[in-house]
Amino acid sequence: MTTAAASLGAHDWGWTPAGRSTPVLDGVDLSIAPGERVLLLGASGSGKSTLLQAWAGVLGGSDEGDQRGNLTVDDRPVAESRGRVGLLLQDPDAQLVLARARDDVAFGPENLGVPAAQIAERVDSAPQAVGLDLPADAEGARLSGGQRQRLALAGVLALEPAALLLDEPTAQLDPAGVVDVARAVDGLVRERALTLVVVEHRVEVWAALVDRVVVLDDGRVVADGPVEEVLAEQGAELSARGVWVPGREPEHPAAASALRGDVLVEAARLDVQPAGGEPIPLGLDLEVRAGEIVALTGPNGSGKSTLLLTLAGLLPPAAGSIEALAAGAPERWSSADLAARFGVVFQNPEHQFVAGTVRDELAVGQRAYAGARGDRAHGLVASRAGSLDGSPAPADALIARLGLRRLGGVSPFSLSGGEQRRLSVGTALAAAPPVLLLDEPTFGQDSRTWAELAALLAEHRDAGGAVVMATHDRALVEALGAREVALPAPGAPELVSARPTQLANTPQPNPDTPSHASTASVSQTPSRSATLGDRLNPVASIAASLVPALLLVTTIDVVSAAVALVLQLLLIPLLGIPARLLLHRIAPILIAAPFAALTIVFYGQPSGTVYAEFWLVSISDGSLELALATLLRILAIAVPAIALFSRPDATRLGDALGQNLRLPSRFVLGGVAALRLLTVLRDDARLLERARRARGLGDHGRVRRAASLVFALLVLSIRRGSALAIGMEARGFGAPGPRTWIRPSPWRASDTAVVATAVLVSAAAVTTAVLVGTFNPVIGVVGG
Amino acid sequence: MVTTAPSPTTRPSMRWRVVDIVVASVLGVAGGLVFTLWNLVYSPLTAPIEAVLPGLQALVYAVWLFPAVLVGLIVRKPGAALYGELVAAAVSALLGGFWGWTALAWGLVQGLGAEIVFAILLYRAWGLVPAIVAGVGAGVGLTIMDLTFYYAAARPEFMVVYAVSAMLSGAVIAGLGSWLIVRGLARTGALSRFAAGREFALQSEREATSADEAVEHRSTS
Repeated sequence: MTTAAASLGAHDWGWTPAGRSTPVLDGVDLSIAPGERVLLLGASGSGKSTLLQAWAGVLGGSDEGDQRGNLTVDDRPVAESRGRVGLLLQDPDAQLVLARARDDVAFGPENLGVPAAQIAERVDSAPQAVGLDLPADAEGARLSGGQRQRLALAGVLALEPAALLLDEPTAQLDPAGVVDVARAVDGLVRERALTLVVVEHRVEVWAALVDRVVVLDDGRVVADGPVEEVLAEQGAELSARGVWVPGREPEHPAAASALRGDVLVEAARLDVQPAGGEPIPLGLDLEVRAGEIVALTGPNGSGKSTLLLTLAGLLPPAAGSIEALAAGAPERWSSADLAARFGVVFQNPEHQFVAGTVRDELAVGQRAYAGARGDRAHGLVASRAGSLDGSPAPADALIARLGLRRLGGVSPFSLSGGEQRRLSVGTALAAAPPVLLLDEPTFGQDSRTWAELAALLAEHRDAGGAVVMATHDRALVEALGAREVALPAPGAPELVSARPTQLANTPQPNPDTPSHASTASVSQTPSRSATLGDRLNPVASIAASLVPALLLVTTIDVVSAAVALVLQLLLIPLLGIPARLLLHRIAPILIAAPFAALTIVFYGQPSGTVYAEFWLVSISDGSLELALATLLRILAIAVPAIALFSRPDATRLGDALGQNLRLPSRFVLGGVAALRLLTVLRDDARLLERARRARGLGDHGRVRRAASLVFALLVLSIRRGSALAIGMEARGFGAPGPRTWIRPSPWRASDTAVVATAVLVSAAAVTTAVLVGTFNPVIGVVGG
Repeated sequence: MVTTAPSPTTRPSMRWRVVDIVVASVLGVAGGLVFTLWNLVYSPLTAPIEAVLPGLQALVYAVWLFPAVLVGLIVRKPGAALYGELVAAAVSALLGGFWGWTALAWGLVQGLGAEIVFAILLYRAWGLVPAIVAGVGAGVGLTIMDLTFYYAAARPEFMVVYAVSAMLSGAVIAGLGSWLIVRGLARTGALSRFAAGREFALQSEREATSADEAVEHRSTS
């Protein structure tokens, strides 16, 4: 630690983002002394995150908005203080950049050009400081939510900041994760005497650690003082604005009024299995009756979300059976039936939006209701007890209850996280289904909207509906008088080694959010015993694939292609790739190449004897020979390119492109970071498809479904990308000045040899063709 | 009406911001994922039929071109179209695409096709027509690659049908398609950090204001 804690200042400061006419923050005056610990409160939209991002220097330049007044770190402009301020965001996925945990911790100091020896030290000390003890090759994606957030904190810490800014750092964590992160921050701040600013609307988590509370409203500071004082004076007002003030609990709905009715959902000896994951043996027997609320609880990784999706008929059971509404297994229902019978709320609401506006989103739910007439005629839905006729509330009334009155005409994707959550519950209610299946229905709610949601669920229960919900929210379980089904903690984690004392509350790779095990980064830095193919520098394998191809495509003749192919088949075994694997990889090209050749049989340049001719087709000696040449040439180009392609891990590829090829590091690392999101996006795609089935659109044609899915995937990409950009910039990404690369990317003699050999093979092949006289220039063919 | 709108007087910067780089990369990755899904549903079913088509198969090939135009339209920086298409190609290779590293060559040439169009327009025009022309440009890139690699020995008639189909496909699927996607994305608010999204926000703010005025007018009369 070379530096003392930083001071932070705002002097009549304001910010108006580009494209908006009103400022988010205006006339903010605030001075935070070195070492002070501040809790920043305010309703959503009050500009808290903007202020943190501004101090961290990631708000963007004049392209992005208009600034007025002054903002300072250590009484100097923010732009001169890069690295002095560390920013931790809500979503770990927006902050973990590289696949392996240690590489990721090094990312920030690398960007700032810190000498390699110092980075190596910090990579050891930073995870320790937040209580993470990870094996050298641990992958960030395999950690639990609390562990990932602490890893992100370690990444911030590796910058050695003098002030720590936390933007709702525990909002996405389960209770165990919240405790982990809060404890880690507490230890750090006390030990290093850092300046701390926390944005959070759950006051009780941080109240003990901070010594000052600042309240923002409508872009201005409205209260500022010691914790007890502000809470005592402003507690009622804060609570009315939705802040969770200790001692002021939101209103609970009345206790259950309806008697329990018929069994609506019944599961027997049920085991579940997340998509692409291992089965979770629950052996669950469960009966859900009308007028009842069942809460699935248990730590992350215990399979709550998976169980919920399975009950909803969106995942096949690993074992056992489910039977619902006297209509058999939900898994076999049509999508329209499913949407009318079950209202499903996904963990991430953005997965389930299918319409252009909030109002249309609710209308989709109501159409599902209209589509269920057949069910009602057969008495299927009549099992809900009589107090309600089952018809859905009018959309406008529902919109008002959900606190979305002014937002009926906007895109669901443009809502805040809490609003999206309420809308997703609303879409489930809009279809008036007998059963609701909800994943964390109160996630991200302030105390006001929490109370409204609890009331809506209680009404559904009292009208004779049933609710099954996966939740960490103890208050909700109690408020609704839910019957609790606690899932056991999952088995011992494989890759994650936490300290023994912490094992009890920080387990597991997390099947709740489906496994993010990265395919783009399976292989490790190759050891000495690795095969030539694995040891090859990625740049060498790209060069050896593409440069020879440029030579081969100059001619289309049997001789050059055959010579090249024969030489390659002799040389490829030297790469040491198992024959079966190689065959598996080139199988598609072995199928595709003959088809391309077949095209040439029909449409190739005719010459010699003509065997058949009709319309454009003409089969002749010439076209047959050219077809053979095409077949061999495609193989000669593609087979080595596939053989040399040994699935490099993204980090290694980036290191090679940046160091060996000297491509601009910002683009290389941007690409590498995005590649880490690949598995996240692939899981998104899976969930998007399931959600469309749950919303009643799964019976639509393939094209429509695919279009809707691709669009939603692109929205999610941009969102995740925008968030990741802030996380990366906060860690010095894009800083001017030279970057440190701590992982060497050696270029060995063998790399040169492989590239040279590949070029020589092509050159020999083309030369042979010239000598034999078969060289047939492509340009001439195209021209003639 | 339109002339009174607050229009940015300064030319937008040509320098890539961090958010430009990261979003372009993530969109490229999503594009690569779409390629992979498309390969799964498309290739095995149609490859046998394609072999006997006189070049018309290229009519649907522009699915492989959309990241170029889409990323260009969203990011609006020099090199965006090329970069988006290259990342998408690399990802489809990493996900077990058929062609190993050769996919990079296709990504390069197709991306350049769209990039050259945006460059000729000095990176200042991002409407529907530029989008369609950029789609055609990417289609030219695809034509060049396929006709030298697979169909170098085909007759001119085949090549002409193939080239026209690819360009038409580029215009409709990659050009018009990407333009529609960008409009839809702007409506979701996801593009708030990009000029493409802000223009839409200003426009809809104006529409909303005039709609409000109309409502007020009706209620007072």
